[in-house]
Amino acid sequence: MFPSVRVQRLPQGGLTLALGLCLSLCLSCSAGAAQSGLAYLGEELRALQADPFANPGLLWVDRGTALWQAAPAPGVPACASCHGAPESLRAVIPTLPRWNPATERLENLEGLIRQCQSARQHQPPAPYESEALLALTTRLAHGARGLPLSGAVAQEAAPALARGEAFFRERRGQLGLSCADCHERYAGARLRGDRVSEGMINGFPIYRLTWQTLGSRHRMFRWCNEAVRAEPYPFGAEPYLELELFLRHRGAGLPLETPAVRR
Amino acid sequence: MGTLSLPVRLALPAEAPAGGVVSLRLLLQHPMETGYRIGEDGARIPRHILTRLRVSYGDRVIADLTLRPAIAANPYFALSFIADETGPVTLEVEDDRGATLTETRMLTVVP
Repeated sequence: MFPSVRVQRLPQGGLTLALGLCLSLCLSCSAGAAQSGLAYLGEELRALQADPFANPGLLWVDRGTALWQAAPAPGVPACASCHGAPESLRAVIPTLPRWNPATERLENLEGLIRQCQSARQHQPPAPYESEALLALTTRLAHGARGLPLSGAVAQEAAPALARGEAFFRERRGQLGLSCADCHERYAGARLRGDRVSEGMINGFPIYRLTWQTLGSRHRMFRWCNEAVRAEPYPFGAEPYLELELFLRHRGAGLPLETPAVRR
Repeated sequence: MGTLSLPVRLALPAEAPAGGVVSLRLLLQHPMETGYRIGEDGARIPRHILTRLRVSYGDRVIADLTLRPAIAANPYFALSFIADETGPVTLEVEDDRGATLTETRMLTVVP
């Protein structure tokens, strides 16, 4: 999984273990194919994620199944009334966020659900990180588990994709770090007791031990922005949608793992 | 069956051989807020924890736990016992704000 420590002999004959390690780490992250955050977890967390009973994210899957069936108010259709089983949308999930030609904007899973809640169910849309929205997004993404993230981006979304990549590579915050600094250049290296992942988004919403709960992609972006001491954008903000689009494109081919367990 | 006011996942086989070991697994959704943390507004976040978990089998109590703040959110419990009679397995959980869970499953002993 991780590159093994390479011991190199320098011309002067000194053994530099540290340099060898650094070098092999950097080579592996630039050359290798995209790897899910799963690959950067220890044995125990990988087992927890794979456990079909004890993965804590499954609590939200259960709740999402119930919400999917239930009409939010009398005389209003339930999600299931129009869509049938949540799995009927599984082909759409790996293509999100995507370009909506009608609105000429990007839309992600949270946005689509919120839009349906207000337009079809005539309800106030569930806010980001509410239990209801997390349960629904988790249930839908869970139904698409195993499908590869799509790398396809509509022609009209090309500028948004470019802005997403620019966001990823731009240094920000008091620490002056870009997403790419940690998740590309130093992916696989140690940060305190942790191993830096590639920042892939194929497991979201994730059950994160740090949060002791489930969180969306945008919560993770906000968390990361705060960690480099940058002002985070609001949930659902355009820069985060563009970043999400870029990260889907960047992680194309990775299987969806929702609900993933992460540290 | 009982009142379910706490989201829960419960795994218990419906049948077990006489004298066989049965495992019960339980995953509860609960914040398990310790009461020691300070929120963003500077105020203490009030304690909100599960306080009790009781499992009975037939007319015997096989586990009775007093739960404390030092338990992570969404706790997972697993216990095992020997199936020696056909009877109900009852789970009772309560938290410090009056939420309760009572769930009964039949365990049938097969020869």
